[in-house]
Amino acid sequence: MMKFLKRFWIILIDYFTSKFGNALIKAVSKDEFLARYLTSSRWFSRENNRVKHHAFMPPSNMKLSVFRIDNLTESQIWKIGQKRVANRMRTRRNLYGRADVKALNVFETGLEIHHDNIPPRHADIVNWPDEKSERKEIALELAANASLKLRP
Amino acid sequence: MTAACIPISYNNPFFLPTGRGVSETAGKLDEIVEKMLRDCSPSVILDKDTLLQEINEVFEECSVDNWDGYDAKAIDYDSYIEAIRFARSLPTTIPLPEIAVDPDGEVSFEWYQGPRRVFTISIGSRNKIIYAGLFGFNKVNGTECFYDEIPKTILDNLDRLFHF
Repeated sequence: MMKFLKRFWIILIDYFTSKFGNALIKAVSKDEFLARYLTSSRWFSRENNRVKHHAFMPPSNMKLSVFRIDNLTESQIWKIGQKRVANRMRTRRNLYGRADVKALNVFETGLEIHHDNIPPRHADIVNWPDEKSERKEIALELAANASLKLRP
Repeated sequence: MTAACIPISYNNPFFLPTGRGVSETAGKLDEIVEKMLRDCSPSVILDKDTLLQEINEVFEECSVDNWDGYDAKAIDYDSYIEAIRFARSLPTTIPLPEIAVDPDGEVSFEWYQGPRRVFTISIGSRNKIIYAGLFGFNKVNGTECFYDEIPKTILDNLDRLFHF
């Protein structure tokens, strides 16, 4: 069973690589934009048109899920959010919007971006510090540099 | 018109630490103080009822694991209780914070004054307050213990946020 799954996995990777091109398996460049999809209304403020730091606080596995959105149209970006994020959640969630942040802003905080491409265009922001107060400070910094895009 | 500005620091008439005494007199004094603060203009003082209501709302919203779809933990009950105690201890001159829950289940308060002028705390279950802030290009973060009163460091940072 495991052998079969491994083979299936390799076929899938080959398929997505051929479909989406080599650009996506390259390392993330500092000029690229990443989208963090917002699934809680408490992660942004309509009043101030801003993303709150809560959107960038990593979960317990210390992998903050984002998607690489360069060279995509707005409708394609929302489609990824709905299909790859909102629809895949165990409990039904609304997709309120997204926080777009430049990879450079992530690198400047000392974090790294691990592009697993599973699902396609997916990446994790990793290398978070052990201290929660430091993680909060970084999340504040990322939120300050992010732009809020509400779902049309 | 000149607007009066009440300092956030705890040595002002709007910040009266209550709930320390256990005698009947202390209880009556607490009631008088609460009534006095309620009578103050809501534009000047923190509306604690609204704040407590907000905390209860996040408790409802985040009471199950994976409430955000990204595997966040359910709100920590001890953190919720501590958050209520923190909210009640806040000086009444501080503007209303925005409430949320961190992925580890701790309740978080955030005060926003403008781009790169933001201060946030998370309430841990063991008398621990974790804080971070951006003040222009200056940054702070750290941890403080929360016993009877809100730690001075937290109040100083709030003062810095609202009075500069």
